[in-house]
Amino acid sequence: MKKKYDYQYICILLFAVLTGLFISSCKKFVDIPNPPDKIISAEVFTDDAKASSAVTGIYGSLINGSTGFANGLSTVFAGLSSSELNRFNPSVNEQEFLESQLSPSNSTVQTFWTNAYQHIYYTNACLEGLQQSNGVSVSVRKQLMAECRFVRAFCYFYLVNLFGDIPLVLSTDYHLNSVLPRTPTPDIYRQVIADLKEAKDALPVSYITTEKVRPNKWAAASLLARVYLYQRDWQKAEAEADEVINSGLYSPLPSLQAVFLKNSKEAIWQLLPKNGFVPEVTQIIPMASTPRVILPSSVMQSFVSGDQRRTRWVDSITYQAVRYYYPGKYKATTASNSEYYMVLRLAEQYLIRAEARIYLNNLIGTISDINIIRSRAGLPGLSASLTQPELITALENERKTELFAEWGHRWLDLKRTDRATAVLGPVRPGWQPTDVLYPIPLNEILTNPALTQNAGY
Amino acid sequence: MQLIAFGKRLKGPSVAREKTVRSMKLIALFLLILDLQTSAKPLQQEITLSLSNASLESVFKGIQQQTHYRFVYTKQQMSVAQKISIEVNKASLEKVLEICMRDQPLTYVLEERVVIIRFKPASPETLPPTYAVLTVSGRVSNEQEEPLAGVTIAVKGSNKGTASNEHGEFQLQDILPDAVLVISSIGYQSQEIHLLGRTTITVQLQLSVNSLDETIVIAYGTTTRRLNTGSVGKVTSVDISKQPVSNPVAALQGRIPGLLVTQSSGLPGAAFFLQIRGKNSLSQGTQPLYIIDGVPFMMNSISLSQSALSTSSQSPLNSINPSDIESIEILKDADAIAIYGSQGANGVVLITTKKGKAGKTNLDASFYTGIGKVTRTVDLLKTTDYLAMRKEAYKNDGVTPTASLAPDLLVWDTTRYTDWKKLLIGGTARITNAQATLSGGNNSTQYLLGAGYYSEVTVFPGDQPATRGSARLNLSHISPNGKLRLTANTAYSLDEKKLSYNDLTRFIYLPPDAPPVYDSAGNLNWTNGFDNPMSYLHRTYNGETSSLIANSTIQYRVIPLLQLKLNLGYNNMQLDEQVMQPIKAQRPSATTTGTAEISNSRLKSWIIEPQIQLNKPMKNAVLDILAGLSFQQRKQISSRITGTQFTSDDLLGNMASAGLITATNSLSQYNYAALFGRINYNIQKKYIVNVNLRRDGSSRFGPAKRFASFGAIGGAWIFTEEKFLQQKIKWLSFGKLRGSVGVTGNDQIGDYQYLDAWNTTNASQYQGTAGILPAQLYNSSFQWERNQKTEAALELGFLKSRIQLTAAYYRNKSDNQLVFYKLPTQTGFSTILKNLDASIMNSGLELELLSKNIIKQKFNWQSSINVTIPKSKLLRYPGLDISSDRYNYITGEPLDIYFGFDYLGVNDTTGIYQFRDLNRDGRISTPSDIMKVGRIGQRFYGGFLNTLHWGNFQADIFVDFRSQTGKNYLATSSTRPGAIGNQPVYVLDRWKKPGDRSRIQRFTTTSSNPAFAAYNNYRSSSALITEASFIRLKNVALSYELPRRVTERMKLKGLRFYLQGQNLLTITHYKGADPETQNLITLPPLKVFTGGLQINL
Repeated sequence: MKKKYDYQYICILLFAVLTGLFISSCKKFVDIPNPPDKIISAEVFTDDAKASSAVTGIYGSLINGSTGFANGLSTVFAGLSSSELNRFNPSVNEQEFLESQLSPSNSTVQTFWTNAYQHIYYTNACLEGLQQSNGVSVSVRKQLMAECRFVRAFCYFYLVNLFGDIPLVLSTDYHLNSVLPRTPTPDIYRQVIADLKEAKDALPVSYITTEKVRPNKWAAASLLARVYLYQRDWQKAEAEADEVINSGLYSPLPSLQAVFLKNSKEAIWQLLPKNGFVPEVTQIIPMASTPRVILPSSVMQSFVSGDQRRTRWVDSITYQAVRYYYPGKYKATTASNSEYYMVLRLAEQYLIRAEARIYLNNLIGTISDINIIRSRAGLPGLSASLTQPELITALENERKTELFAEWGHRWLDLKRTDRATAVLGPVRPGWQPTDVLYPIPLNEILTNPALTQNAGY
Repeated sequence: MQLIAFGKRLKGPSVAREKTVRSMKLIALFLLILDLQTSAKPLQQEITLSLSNASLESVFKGIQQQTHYRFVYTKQQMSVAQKISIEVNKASLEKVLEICMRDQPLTYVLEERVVIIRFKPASPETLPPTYAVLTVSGRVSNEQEEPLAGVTIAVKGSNKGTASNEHGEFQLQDILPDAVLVISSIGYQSQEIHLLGRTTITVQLQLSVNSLDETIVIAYGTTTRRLNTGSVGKVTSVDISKQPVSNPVAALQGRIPGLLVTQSSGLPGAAFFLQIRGKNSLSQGTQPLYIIDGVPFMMNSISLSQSALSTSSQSPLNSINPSDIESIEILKDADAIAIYGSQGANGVVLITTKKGKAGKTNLDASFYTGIGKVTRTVDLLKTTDYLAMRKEAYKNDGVTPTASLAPDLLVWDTTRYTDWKKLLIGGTARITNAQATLSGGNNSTQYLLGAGYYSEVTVFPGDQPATRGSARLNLSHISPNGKLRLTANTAYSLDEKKLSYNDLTRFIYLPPDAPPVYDSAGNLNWTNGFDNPMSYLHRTYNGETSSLIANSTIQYRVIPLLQLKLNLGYNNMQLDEQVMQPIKAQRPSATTTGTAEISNSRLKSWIIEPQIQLNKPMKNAVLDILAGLSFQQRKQISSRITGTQFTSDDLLGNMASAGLITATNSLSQYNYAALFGRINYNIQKKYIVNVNLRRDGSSRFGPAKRFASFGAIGGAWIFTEEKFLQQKIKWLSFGKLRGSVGVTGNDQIGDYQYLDAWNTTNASQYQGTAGILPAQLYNSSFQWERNQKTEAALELGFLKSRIQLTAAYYRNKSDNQLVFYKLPTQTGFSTILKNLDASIMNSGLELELLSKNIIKQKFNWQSSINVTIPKSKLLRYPGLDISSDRYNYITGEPLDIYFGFDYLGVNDTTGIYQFRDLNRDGRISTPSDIMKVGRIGQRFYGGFLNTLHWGNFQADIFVDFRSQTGKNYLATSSTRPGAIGNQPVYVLDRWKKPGDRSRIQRFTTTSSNPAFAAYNNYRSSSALITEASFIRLKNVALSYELPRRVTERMKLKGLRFYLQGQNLLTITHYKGADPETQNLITLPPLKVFTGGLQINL
C-alpha cells in the first residue's frame, strides 16, 4: 500500500511542477517583442525626426499611394464628368462618369471617398500625436500641425465639392467617427477655412525644404483664396490671391514649357512623385499606338488660334488615320525627375483675383489679371471695353483653357457657377440637375446608417 | 483450438468460466477500465498465495487478481495440467510462475501483460530449435463450422503463404516451429496463430467486428471507436490511396459527416475550403486547426507574390504527399477538441503519417498516370449569334457603334470563329504519380523510408507543370526493457509550379470573332480592344516551396503507472516566387517596359510539449490522466522585390537592370503557450467519463487579454454491456450513448492586431526619407472568442455490427465574436478588429450508416452513407439595426440569408428587369429597396460509398451529393448580355419585342439605357439565387490483385493493377459551369482518369 502513495505523491508533485512551470514561464513566453518592421504610436511623436516622417508620409501617400483623388482621379474622372476629357476605350466605371449615370456602387466614386478620408485620418492622427507629444520641439510641432491642417482642409475641399454634405471627422476615434452623419456644406467650409487660416498663420513664408513640395504660408493662402471664391466671398478671395501674387515669390510667370517642371517659378505647392514622373500621366499619355484619354473637339475648339497652350500643352496621336488630342501638360513618362505634380500655381491665383474683381466691379483689374495669363499664352490682351457679363464669359473660357486637365477644375467650376445643367444637359441624354453631386458610395451607406444618399441616386 | 483468457472468452463458444465478482473501489469521481495498452508490469510485483491441490486455472485466477496479468491458454492445456499446491508470500510473478510450471508439460511466455501458456517443446534432440522445419496443415472454418475457402494463410515476416481450398484446408511447408501464421479473409477478423511447434491447426474465423475496435487518433493519444467519448471522423490511407488527388484534404470530400469540403478551382495546388460543422464566426477565420503528427501546421498561404494564381489560391497542404498519410481524423465536438483550447473552435484535422512496422523488409511501390479534363463548362454563343446579340444591343440602345467601342463589329473579321473554351481550357492535364516505401525492422527498432513524385500539367495551352518530390524517414525504437520509446519523423518536400500569371478561364468569354492570337509573323496580336489571352502565358509565375516537417517523441515510463513524454516538432517552409511580365507579353500601348518580382517567404515554427501520463488500473476501472504543457512559436519572414521599367526582356532575371526597384518586407512572430490536462475514467468499459481542460496564452492578444481557459466534459454509456440488455436484445450487438459539452476558442486573427502600429510603405516615402503612416485602427482590448459546443450521439451496431449506425446532433454556440467589423471608411479604415456582442448558433444532425450487405466467400459488398443536415441561426445581435451588418443578417434567421432586390421578372413591355420598389419612390436603389430574398447554402450534404470485392477484383464507387442553393451563372460575369464579350447560350432567351415573356432582359451595352442599370440590380437580386444541388460521381476505383500463386511464382508479395477516376460525372440542374465552384471565371474542378499498378516486394 505504501507504494501506491508514492505514485500518487510523485504524480501530484509532477503536476505541481508542470503548473508551476506554466505560470512562471508562460506570461513571459507570450509577451513577444513588437514587430521590427513597425513602430508604435507612442514612439512616433517622441522626436522631431519621427514626427516629421509621420507628416511627410502623408504627402508621399497622396502622390505615390494607391490611386486616389490626389494622383490622377480628380483630373481624369472629374474631367470625364465635365466632358473636358473623353476616354478612348471606356470601362463601365468610366462610362458612368462620361454619361453622368453614376451608380452608388461605382468603384471610382468609392475610391474618391475612401482615399480622401484615409488622408484625413492620417492628418487627425498626426494632430493628436503632436498635441500630446512632449519630445517634439515647439517650432517643429507648430510647423507640422499647420501642415496637417492644410492637408486636412485640402482633402475636405475635394470631398465637399464632389459629394456635397459629408461627415466632418476631426479625430481618430472610430467609435465616434463610424456613426457621424453628414455635416451641412457651410459647416464643412467653416472648418476648412479655420484650418487654412491657422495653417496660414503658422506656416513660414519660406519653404521648409529646398523644394516647394511642402506647403508654406502662400500655399495656405492660395487654397484659402480658392475656398473664398467658391463661397463667393469676393473680397476675401481677392485679398488672399492678392497676397500670394504680391509675395513676389512666384512671378513673373514662366514660359508655358516651364510651368509643370519641378520647382517651376509659378509653383506654389507641388507634390513630389517618387518614381520620377507624375503618376497621372499613365492614365493620359498613350504608350504606343492607341489613345487613352482624349480631348474632345469642344475643348479643342475653345483654343482660339494663336493660343500657344494649344500647341505647348496639347499633344496628339494618330490612330487608324484619325488624329486624337490629349493633354500634354506633363511630358515625362519615365523616371526623368524633371516634372513634379502641380497642385497650386500662380496662374490660378490671377484668375481667382480676376473673377473676384468682376463682382467687386474692378473690371480693369480683372482685365489686367486675365491679360497676364493671355500674354503668356501668346494671345492679345482683352479689350478694355468688355462689360461685366462679357468678362464672366471671358473668364470662364480663360479658366477652361488655362486650367484644363488639371485637378478637375472644369467640373468644379461648372458646379459652383451653376452652369452644369446648361452646359452638360444638352449633350448628355440622361442628365439630371442632381448629377452635379456624386452619389455617396453604397458601402458607406451600408456601413453607416446615419448617412443619407444624395438626391437623384 | 480454443484460446481462453482469464475470465473472458477470446473465442470459441464453450468455455468454462467463472464469474468473478470484484468489488469496485471508488477512489475518485472518474473511474474506468481500460487495457493498459503498452505498460509492462514489473516482474517484481508481489504475489501472495496459499492454495493446496488447486487447479492451475485457479492459481492463474489468483495471480490475475493481484497483478492484472492476463493468462492465455487452451482448454487442452488445462486438461493436461497437474494440480498444484503453492504457498508464497510477496513473491515475484516470475517466482510464482516458476513454481506453477515446475512439473507441468507446459511453459510460459511473458508478453507485455499477457502470460501465454505453451506446451513444452519436445526434447531438444528431436527438435533442434534453429534448423528443424515443419509441414503445417490445417483447416479454416467460420463460426458455423462451415469450411472457408480462399482464406489467406501467411507466415508472418516472410513471403510464404497459401490459401485454403474449398474444404477450408491448407498446407504449408518448411515452416519454423516458432512461426506465426496470419490467417485473414475479407469480412473476417484476422488471426495470428503462434505455431509453438504444432503441425496441425484448426482455425475458426469470426466475422469482422468492423471498425469498432480499430484505433483512432485523438488529441494527444489514441482510443477506439468503441471507447471514444467524442465525435471523430476518420479517413484511412486505404480511402486516400483510391483517389488520384494531390492534396490530402481533397480525399475528404463527402466522406465525413459534418465536414464540408469545397474546391476553389481546378488549378494545380488550388486550395480546398474545409468547414467543420458550419461557420462558427461571423467574419473571422473559420479554418480548422491542422495537426500533423502532433505538430500544428500553418494553413495560411505564405505567398507574397502579386500574381493572381499565387495569392490565396494555393494550399500549403500541397507540400504533404497524400501517400505518406496513414489516417486523417476530423475532431468535431467539444470532447475531442477542447484540449486544443483556443485553437480548436473550428474543429481539428489530425493527420497521422505512416510508421514502420516490425517484420521483414518490405518494399511497396506504386505508379499511376492519367489525364484530367475540366468537368463542366457553359456553352457559349457562336459567332453568328454573338454578332446578332451585339447588333441587337446597339439597336436597342439607339446607338451607332464606333470602332473604338465595338471593334468586334467594325474592326475585326466577323467571319472568324474561335472556340476560346477549347483553345484555353480544353487541354488535357497529364498526371503522373510514383511512390516507393521501404519499411521493416525488428521488435525494438522499426523504420520506414518513403519517396514520392507527383506531377501535373494544367489544361491551359503550353506546358505549365506543377511537380512535387517528397521524401520521408520514420524511425521508432523501444528500449529492451520497454521503458523508453523514441520516434522520429522527417519529411521533406519540394513543390514547384510554373504557371501563367492568370487563370485563363476568364478569357473564354472573349468575343468568338476576336482576332487570331498570333499575327502572321508569329508575334502576339495586339489589335485594339483585344485582350490577348496568350499574353498571359508569357507572363509567368514560378513558385517553389520547400517544406521540412520534423517531429519526434520521447517517452519514458518511470514507473508502471507513470509515463513522461516529450513531443518536439519543427517546421520550416520556404516559398520562393518569381513573377515575370516581359515587354512582349504586354500591350505596347499600355507599357513599353517589363516588370519582374521576386519574393521569398519563410515560415519557421517549433513546438515543445512535455507531458505526463498517469495510467492507473483499479479493480473495475481504469483512470487515465494526462497533463502537459505546450509552447509554440511561429516566425514568418517575407520580402518582395519588384523591379519595373526593364527595357529588355532578356534582362528581367537581373534586378540590377530594373529602372526602378521597390522592396517590401515583413516579419511577424506568434507565441503560444498552454497548460492542458485530460482525465479519462472508464468503468468496466461501460461508463466512461472524459474531462479536458486547457489554459491558453496567445501573443495575438493585447497584454491584458492574453490568457483564457477552455474545457469540456464528455461521457459515454455503452449500454449493450449491461447484462439485462444483452439478454433481451440479441440483435443489437453494440449500443453507445455519448454526449459532450464544452468551450473552445478561436485566435485566427493574425499577429499584432492589438498594436497601435505605424509603418513605412513604398508609397509613404517622400523627399528621399521614409514616411510613416498609421497601419490600422487600434483596439487593444479585444478578447478571446468563445465557442460552446454540445453534442449528443447514439451509436448502434446490429447483427454483430454488420450494420452500424451513428446519429449525432450537435449545437455550437459562438459568442463574443471576434470580427473585423466593417466600418464606414470615413473612419480612415474599413475594418476594426473587435468583439461583437453577437451570438450565433450552428446546429445539425449527422447520420452515418455502414452496412455489410453481402459477405460471401467470393463476393463481398459493403456500403456506407452519410448525411449532414446543417442549420444556423443568429441568436442575438444587439444594435444590429444600426450596424454595418444590418443588410447581412436578421436576428432569429439563418446566417446564410441573402439580401437583395426582390426580382419581379422581365417587364414584357419594356423588356427590362423589374424589382420590387419597397419604398415606392419610383426608383430601385440600395439600401432602401433591398430585403431578405432567400438563402444561399446547403440544405443537406453527404456521401455514399460502395465497396465490392469479387475474388481478386475490387471496386469502389463513391458519390458526393449536396442539396443547396447557389449563385447563378451571371453572378461572376460583369459583362452584360449585349456588351462586348461572349455569353452563355442561355442569354438567347431574351426579350425582343413587347409582349415577349423571357428570362433575360433586352440586350444592352450603353449605360444610359435603363437596362444597363437594371443589370447591375439583377446581379444583386433574388434572381441570382438558383438551385445548385448536385450529385457527383466523385470517385471510382477498380483494382485487380494478382492471385497469390501467381505472385509467388513472380517472387512478389503482391501485385495490384488499378484504374481510378475522380469527378467522373456530375448530375445537376445548375445553369452555369460547375455547381461546386459556382464561378464562371475560375477553372472548374477537373475530371481525372488514371491507371496504375502497385507492387509489393
